[in-house]
Amino acid sequence: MKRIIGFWIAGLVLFFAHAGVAKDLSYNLKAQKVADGVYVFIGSTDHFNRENGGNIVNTGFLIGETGVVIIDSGPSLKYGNEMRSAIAAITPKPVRHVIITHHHPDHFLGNQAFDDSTIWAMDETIKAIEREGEGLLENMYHMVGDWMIDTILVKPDKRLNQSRMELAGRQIQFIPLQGHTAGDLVVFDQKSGVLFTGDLAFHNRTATTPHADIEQWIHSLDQLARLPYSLVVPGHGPLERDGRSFKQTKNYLIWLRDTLHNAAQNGLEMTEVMRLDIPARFQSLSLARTEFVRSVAYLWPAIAEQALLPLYD
Amino acid sequence: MRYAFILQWLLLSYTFQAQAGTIAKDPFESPMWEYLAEETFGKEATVIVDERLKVFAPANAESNFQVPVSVDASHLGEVEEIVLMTDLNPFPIAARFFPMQAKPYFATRVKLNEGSAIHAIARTPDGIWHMNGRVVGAQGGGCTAGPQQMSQPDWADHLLEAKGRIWQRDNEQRVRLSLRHPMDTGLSGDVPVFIVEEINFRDGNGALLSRFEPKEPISENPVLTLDFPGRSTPYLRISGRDNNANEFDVVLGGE
Repeated sequence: MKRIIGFWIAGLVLFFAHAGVAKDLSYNLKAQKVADGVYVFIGSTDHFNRENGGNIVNTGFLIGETGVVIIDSGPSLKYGNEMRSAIAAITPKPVRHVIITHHHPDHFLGNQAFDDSTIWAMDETIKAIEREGEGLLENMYHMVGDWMIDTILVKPDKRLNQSRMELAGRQIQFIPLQGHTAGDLVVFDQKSGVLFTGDLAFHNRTATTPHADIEQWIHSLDQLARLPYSLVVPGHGPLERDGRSFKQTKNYLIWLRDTLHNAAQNGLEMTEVMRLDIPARFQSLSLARTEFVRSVAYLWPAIAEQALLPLYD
Repeated sequence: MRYAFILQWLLLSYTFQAQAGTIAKDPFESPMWEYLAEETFGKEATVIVDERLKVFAPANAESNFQVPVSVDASHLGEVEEIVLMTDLNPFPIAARFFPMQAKPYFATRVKLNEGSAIHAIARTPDGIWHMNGRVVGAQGGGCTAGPQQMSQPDWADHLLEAKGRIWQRDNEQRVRLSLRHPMDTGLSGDVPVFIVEEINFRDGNGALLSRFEPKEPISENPVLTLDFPGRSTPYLRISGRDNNANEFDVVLGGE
């Protein structure tokens, strides 16, 4: 009987706690000025959950002479709207352009808040959104719930195929790379030297690999390291100025690749691989075990298959 | 004679201690467990929860089409059969494994229709079923959502092509087999059920060493890993068939 009462009390507490949250869900987005006319929103380094509402991502915006250029629109309509208000508090100029770095849901599902501006992405990104967008959106509803309310899929409407453009009066260099996904767009603001890497760079946060090609990714990181940046805005994790997020991401990817290949050559099976030790130097990255297990889920089947020999009669 | 009697008595009393004809409650709280256990093992069966049976699967499926599972019953001593159950799948039984000369251990991959308890139930020679399991969530997601896997369009050209490898370890041989097969459950589109139904491992003289029977939930292009204790002959013959009587028969090792 005690148990039953306890259960009801727990239920009531949960109900009110939930009702309280539902009333005033807010990302409390705070724009951080990092250079003249360059601002960023830094998200949590956690996984998607109902507390962070999907705000696990770094986004930003540039203020040009004639308007504002946004880099990635966040995980939801609510995030996009909050971004819009935060920008309006800083400048009266209109949002003219949105640039989407790649097709993962935390980077583009806020597009709906900017459907009066031009939304740019690489061809690969637009195709991936056409192919997987609805599924990604549905998953976000499952993972973060009410934060997604009213969010619908808004595809980028303009293919980005120039390496340099002046947008809203701001000179921007575009570097088309790949590896985290089939299309990873890097955005470099020439005046300030601020580099928006999209998810090619993770900082103090374990890299995610659901659409990764590790060799290409490592190659892309080498290219990033050669750019004349003054500040790096990684896709996830804190800002940095000396390229440490490139080194960190590259070291992790090399370890991940070698670990999986060695395990395949040594005959380990998938659940054994998921339980392998993670070296101390990567354990401080947030979500080290979770993301390693997920990477095994994505990358292992193909790697394990390569280690086998064809059999005949 | 007297010893035989005592042995029998001991066995009987052990059976009674384990409560003959009872199916243990599921520590993983699967809504299907009691129904499935009764259906699969019979009302008279004795099914106990046994921590010595190790079941490994990730807490979250990521790709519902390739969920890894391994089952290690070697701490139970001799094991005659292991049943793998994916409780909330439309066809819950994922495989039946008869270890024989193999270690009572296997690793494979299953499809999950939704998040579910995965149970392994191992039968020892005394007739008792030992159960353990894992709960696997199948919430996809986000950065997380895996590439949608589809049946490869050229499957017919490669049906039942096999790949494999033997790893010689200290006291055992690890054997892996990978087969090309769509493993269609019969539940999607107008495609009838089409699955590999048996995989037999034999030695050079044709003697059966072990047998694995995949069912509908086993992943497309099934992969199976077994361990053979005390074996060092690098030669195995692996054969089997699907439910449309397509057969395969290959040699692993032996060069």
